[in-house]
Amino acid sequence: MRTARIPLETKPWRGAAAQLGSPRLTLALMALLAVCVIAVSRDFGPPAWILATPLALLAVNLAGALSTQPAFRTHSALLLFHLALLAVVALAAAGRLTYLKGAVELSEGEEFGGVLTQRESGPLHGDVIERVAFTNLGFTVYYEPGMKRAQTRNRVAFVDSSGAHREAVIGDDTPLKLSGYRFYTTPNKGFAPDFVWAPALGGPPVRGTIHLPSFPAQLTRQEIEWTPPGAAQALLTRLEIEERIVDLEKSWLLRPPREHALIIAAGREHVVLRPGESHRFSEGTLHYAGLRLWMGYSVFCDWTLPWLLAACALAAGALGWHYVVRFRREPWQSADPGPLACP
Amino acid sequence: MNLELMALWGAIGVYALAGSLAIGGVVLRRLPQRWVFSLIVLGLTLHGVSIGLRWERLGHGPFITMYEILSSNVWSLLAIFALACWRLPALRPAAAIVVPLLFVMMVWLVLQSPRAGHLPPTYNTAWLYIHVGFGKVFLGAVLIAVGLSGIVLARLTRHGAAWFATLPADRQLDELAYRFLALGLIFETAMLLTGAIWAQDAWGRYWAWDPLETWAFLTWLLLAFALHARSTLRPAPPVGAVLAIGVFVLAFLTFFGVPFVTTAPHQGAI
Repeated sequence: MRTARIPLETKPWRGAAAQLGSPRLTLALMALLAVCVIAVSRDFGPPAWILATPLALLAVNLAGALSTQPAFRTHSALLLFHLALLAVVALAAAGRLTYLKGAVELSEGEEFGGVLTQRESGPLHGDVIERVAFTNLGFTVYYEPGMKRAQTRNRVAFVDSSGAHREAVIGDDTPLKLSGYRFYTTPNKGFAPDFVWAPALGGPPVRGTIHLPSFPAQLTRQEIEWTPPGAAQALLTRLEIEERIVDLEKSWLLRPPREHALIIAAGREHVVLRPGESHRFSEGTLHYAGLRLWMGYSVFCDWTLPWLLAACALAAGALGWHYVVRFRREPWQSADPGPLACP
Repeated sequence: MNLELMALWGAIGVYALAGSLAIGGVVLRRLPQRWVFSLIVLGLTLHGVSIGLRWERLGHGPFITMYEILSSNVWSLLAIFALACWRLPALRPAAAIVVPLLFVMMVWLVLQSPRAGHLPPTYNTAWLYIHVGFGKVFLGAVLIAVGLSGIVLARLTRHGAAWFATLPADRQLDELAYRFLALGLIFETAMLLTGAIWAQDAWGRYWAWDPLETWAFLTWLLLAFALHARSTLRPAPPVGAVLAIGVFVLAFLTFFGVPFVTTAPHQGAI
């Protein structure tokens, strides 16, 4: 039995694909995407959700065009450019599902133990940050006249993937990369009084630091309320800097002041502590060991980064290739756009 | 007045002369093309000396203050236009539109304080030069498309048709403008890509929809829209010209307006 062959152009799916891949629809969807981008800029909601609809529709439109538009069969660079755009959208979506963004503060000498103070992540982020460890070995931040922050250099120690102990210098634009996580220094940093707390009811003494507000951003508000481990009463701790460490006229280096005191208020009781001094409060004895610095780090993880870079580079390269081939073929003086030219 | 400012004022004077000659030549229909082109090159040389002296004095390129950004853009836009005129002499009459357009930036430039700005630590990277370089080529390509589009629109009037009568037909100018817009799309794509690489290391994220990123993407989208519309809707040359001018206006507002009216960390412009 012989069956009639349906011409390709009359297959029903082909008609639907041609409609879905219509270049006029592309223009309408671009306009929709523009409206959604403006909505994102006006904080109408999470960018990922607002942009998902027009980008998905553009992806369907492109899929339809790829299967029906003859231009894509004859212009391989144009095809490559659009496929790379599709890959960018898919990778950006995958990145939003699996990313992590967070922050952590570490005093000098303190080790990061995998716990972030702030975090947001995609629903499919596979958390391995608990296994990431590094130590803040200390940092320098220079300021130029007029309180302009210059380079931050932070020495860190870590164990690399081969198990070797290593040190590196990181900064605002030079991250520490561990297990896919990137740790950057930030402008958020300050002074960290180092205490030893010995509970009055016995038990081992506890050593640790508290982080005063960011310096010099909060120059005049260097105080914080905190509660020692196991205690009920909060201690309001204020740093009194007794020397000039900030100079608006000259360059200066951020460092803990040598001349300083801590004013500690526990209820009505006020105590002045200098490095090496102790005081017995009702719930325990507080020993002030000295002043250190703390650094705030931003943490970022997105496995799609190198792939996104590759897809974007491919898109830009293919676009250039497409236009070079097209324009070399036809001098502009004799150019005729033709019945259905590609862009 | 120091040599740096003297060279700048000298350059602006030469540019003004070139622009006036270009306009006069079009109106009188005797365009002294060689003179206009030579004056633009002379102005670029003087202006280049001014930028170079400042760069040497401050130890960083013209990327920080509005004065530096306007100065470097006047230079780069005219340099790209001069380069295009050298390769495509048919473009030279567009000087009557392009140079006066840049007068706006020059007036804005002389109203700015030439004080030094602070170079943020994250600007100490090669990506700055690559990102800014791509951005300047993008804007230069779109500016040339605007020059050609201006001629197409001017020809809608009786005077304009007479002034630009010797130039190629509208359809050909439209094609040439389209090609420069296509060049602009390539370089804006590259600018966004390199900007994202830089942003990842500067701020720990490659894209965050901050105002400059948002409007730079909208400019890219409008440029892609203009190119798509040309192949899909086959607009008449004047409509294509309006689209090209729309892209330039949006790009101009994005790069010279948005960074200076927001408090986002994304300061500076291309």
